[in-house]
Amino acid sequence: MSPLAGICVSSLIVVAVFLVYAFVRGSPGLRSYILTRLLLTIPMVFVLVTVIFVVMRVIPGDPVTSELGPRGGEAVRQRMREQLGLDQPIPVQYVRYLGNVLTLDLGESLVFGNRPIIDELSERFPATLEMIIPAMILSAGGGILLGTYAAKARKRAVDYGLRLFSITAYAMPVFWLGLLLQVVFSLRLGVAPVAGRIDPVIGIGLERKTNLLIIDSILSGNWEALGNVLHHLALPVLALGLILMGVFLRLSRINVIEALVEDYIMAGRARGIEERTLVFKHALSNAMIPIVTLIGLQVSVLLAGAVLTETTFSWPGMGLYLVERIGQRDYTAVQGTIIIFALSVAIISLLTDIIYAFIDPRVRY
Amino acid sequence: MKHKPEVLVKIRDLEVLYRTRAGMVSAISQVSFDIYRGEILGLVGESGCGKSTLGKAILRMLPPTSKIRGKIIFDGEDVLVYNEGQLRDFRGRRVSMIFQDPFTSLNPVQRIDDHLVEAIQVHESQVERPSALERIARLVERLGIERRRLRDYPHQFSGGMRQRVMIGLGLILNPDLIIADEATTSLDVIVEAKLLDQLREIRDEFGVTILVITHNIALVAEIADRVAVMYAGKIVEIGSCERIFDDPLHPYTQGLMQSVPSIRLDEQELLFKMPGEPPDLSNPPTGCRFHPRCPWEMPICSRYAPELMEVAPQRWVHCWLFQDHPEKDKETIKVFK
Amino acid sequence: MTTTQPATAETILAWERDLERAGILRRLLKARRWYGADWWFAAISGLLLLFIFSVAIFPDFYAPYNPRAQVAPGMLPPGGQPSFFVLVSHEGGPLTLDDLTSPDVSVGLVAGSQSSQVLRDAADKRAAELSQQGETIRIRPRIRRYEDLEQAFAALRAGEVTAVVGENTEVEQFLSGSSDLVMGDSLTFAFTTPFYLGTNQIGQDLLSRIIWGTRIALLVAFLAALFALLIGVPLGLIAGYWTGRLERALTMVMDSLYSFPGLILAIAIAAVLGPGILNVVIAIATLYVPTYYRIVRGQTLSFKQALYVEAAHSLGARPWEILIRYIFPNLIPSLVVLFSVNVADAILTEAGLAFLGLGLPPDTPDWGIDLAAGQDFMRQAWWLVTFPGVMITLVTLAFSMLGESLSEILNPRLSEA
Repeated sequence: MSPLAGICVSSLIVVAVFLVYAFVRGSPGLRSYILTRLLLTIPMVFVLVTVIFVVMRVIPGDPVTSELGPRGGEAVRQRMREQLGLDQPIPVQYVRYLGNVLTLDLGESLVFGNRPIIDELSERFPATLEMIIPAMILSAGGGILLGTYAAKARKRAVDYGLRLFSITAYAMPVFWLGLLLQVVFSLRLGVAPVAGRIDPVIGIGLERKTNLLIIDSILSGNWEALGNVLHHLALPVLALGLILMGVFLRLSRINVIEALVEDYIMAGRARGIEERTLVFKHALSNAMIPIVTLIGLQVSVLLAGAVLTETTFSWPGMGLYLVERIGQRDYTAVQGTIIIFALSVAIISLLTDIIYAFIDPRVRY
Repeated sequence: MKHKPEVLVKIRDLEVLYRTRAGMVSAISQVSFDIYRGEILGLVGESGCGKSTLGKAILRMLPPTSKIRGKIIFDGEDVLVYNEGQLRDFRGRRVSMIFQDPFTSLNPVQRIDDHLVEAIQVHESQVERPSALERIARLVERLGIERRRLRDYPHQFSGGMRQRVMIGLGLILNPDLIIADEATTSLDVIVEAKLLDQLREIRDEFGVTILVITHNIALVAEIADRVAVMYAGKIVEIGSCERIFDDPLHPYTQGLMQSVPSIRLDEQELLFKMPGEPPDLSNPPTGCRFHPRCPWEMPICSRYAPELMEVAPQRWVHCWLFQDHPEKDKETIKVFK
Repeated sequence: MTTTQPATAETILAWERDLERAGILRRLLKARRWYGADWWFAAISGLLLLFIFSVAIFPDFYAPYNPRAQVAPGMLPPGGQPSFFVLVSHEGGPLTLDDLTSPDVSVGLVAGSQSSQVLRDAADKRAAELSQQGETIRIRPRIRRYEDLEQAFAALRAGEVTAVVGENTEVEQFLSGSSDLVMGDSLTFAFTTPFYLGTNQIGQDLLSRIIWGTRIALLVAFLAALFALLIGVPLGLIAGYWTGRLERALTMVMDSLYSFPGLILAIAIAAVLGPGILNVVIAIATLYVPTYYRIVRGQTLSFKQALYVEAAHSLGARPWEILIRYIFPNLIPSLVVLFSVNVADAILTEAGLAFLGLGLPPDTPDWGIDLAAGQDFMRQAWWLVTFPGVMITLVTLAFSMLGESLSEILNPRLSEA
């Protein structure tokens, strides 16, 4: 089973278990919400997949011409068109396309000897995953904590400093921050590698089971590889994480401030509860509910940032794959990658919406 | 009360100023009075007169944009000089507050029993959860809340039940003083009546002092032993409930009494309305703050502010009608009861 | 202190009348006290943006060099001023190249340096120039070689040579102490304006490129935001006003697009459309249509319920009249804020696209392109990957600060008292 399929299946199992639990233990309100939301995912995926089709096929530009150029006689072109299914009328193409998407048959690469796209992506997907998950943890965790702290220290220097940091971070292009980190930490200070996931020598010696190198190195007990991988992860995760931290910081701060002016905070203060407890336990737990929706929205920003970060650090993930294949006019690969992105986004937004409903006791009970 | 009452809270020369965009607002000005142990004191006045501010000031719950001066002496100690630690110990344990809106005053993501356990553990950190739950259970049953519902969230409770939870939070640490800040305003009359009964029972059984802050005069008439009337940041009259209602002295108090619509409405032709508006507290009137609206205004009223003087035993009035002054031309009214 | 009057109807009106009579400018300034920090943020970012606009509109005024011209040696560090070669003489006036035509002139230079080649090139160029004007002159001074400049200058003072050729940076040391040495003509191009931010690998002035890049960035971002607005706002108004099955379908499409990573969609569109400014604009505009749609639709839905809309409806106002005259004006504050934030985001997206090599032709002076090109030379020329990014951040920051502070002023949140 390819690593990608393995990851997908296990995460789908986890998701399914969670959904069943929420469904069984939740209030009627929660149940209907889960059902509605699940049903809504279908049209959403449908829309995205259709948009991708429209963009890739209906917009002028003939992949055959751009691929073959002036070479090849009519017969070759015709055969290629048949192979790509371009000789059929558009509605037929569309239906076949939908069918292919459902079975995750993303076609074969136009450029690299007909390798199935799904195989290529299943190698690249874990690489992207391994970078964006720590980046998300860094940005969300750091952002929420700092934002709450800023809310507590309102109107003091720390607050203004953190706010300035957050808007500046978001105004910075992620690839620029990546470049700066490379210049300072790799080239000048020499404490981190410039690019790549792992040193080639160590990389050859590591057995790839899931292509999540952290897990693979733990599974093989290869601690040198583990250290090397973490070392390579440092700069890309830092770049992506810092930029997004700004957004989380701002929104956490605002939500916690709004929670802090609520009556129950004042009531708690009147009972002698400490300020720090009021902020970090009471206000934050209420503010977390809107913050969780933010996490869902930020995943798409994270993916967009991942494309740029992977390009900057030559990180062999889906983003770099996309950019490379565009350069090579491998439209099948491009289309396939974007479809996978769309599916990931749909699933993640479904999950976060349901988690959001679940953790709010007003909905759950 | 026949014996000399014991004083629980002594408020002296209390002043509260707020900084707003429109300027400095004088919310409470030179307020001095006592609260006796074991009494139910009603603090009445219209919106904006400063009564809520006064309640909050006792707990030092005023916003950071405010300045507070004077003394609030609770059981011998001045609350206004407490440090953070003393203040946290003071709040909830010696004095507690019951708020107006029981829904928004409870943390929506925290269970009811957790609210109560937290209140205990904040002040007595060595108490373990099981014993805290025991204490809570006893109190809660007395208030009429079912034990098995304690694991619920606030939104699962009805309005009246939530208010009882609030009372529970106010009582759990056996405070000396409970401040009820518009506690019944958002409740319907039946629930309100039940609540008042409970407050009375609590005072009778535990000897807790209760400060009832409200704009509802009828409420005060029902429950209070003594009444203090507030206007524009000043206390204008204090007296026993009977005396205030039978024989209001201050012109504002008289106006208040007349404003209450009577069920025998056909006896009056028009509803009584006091002329004028409450003053702008960023620029309050000189002298007595009520003088622009007072039917018995004298020249001295706009020049000097009177004192809150005890004109008869347990009867204070803040009005030149009842006090002497060299520049005063009219006779001072003498009060006997 | 005098007695205050209770506020009466007359006094209130007088105060309001005074405020209305005060002009917009005075009200803006008075607002400073009221809005506090936000006023300052809006003012500062507004001024900054005016400056940036002027740079974008008049880049040749600000840029010292042509951004595409390869004027200088490559990879000069910031503040670099490449040296040039000069003639130095002893006493008397400054020498020009033409003074070297007489046969008894000899020139000293350091053996093994470029000076002899430079002299010959300059002489040939001058000779060519003069022959075009019809004069035939040979400028072939005799050359004497010395081990170093010290010896050369000693020889100059001794009268053995008429002039010395050297680089201005080296020659200056000798000139500063003495009053008898005179610097004459330069034999190569004299770079009077330093390259404040350095040059890139093919010798283009980075500062000029950045200045010209402002124009491209703002042009693309503004056009994209404008197109998105022109499409999204009417759609949102219509969707908010006439709800129904079609509207629900459209909203679902918009919501799906909104949740999709924008950059990836833009990449796809830009890749398919090919390079070109208009294509980039279209790609980016498509991204932001859902944002305008959602906000406008949401606000229209709530404004629709307002009593004055109902009243207008009952008076027989037609739907589009209601939309344009009642609902749309209420949207304007939100739209201004949204537009500002949008432009900020569009600048980042455009830079990202350019960094990836999509959309603009390769030699365009664009910040993203410069950063991408600079990445290959990061090791030697750190300034190539620093300054374009600073510019992106600054301009984006200015727009978002403007948007945010305007948002606080126009739609204030719960007061942070």
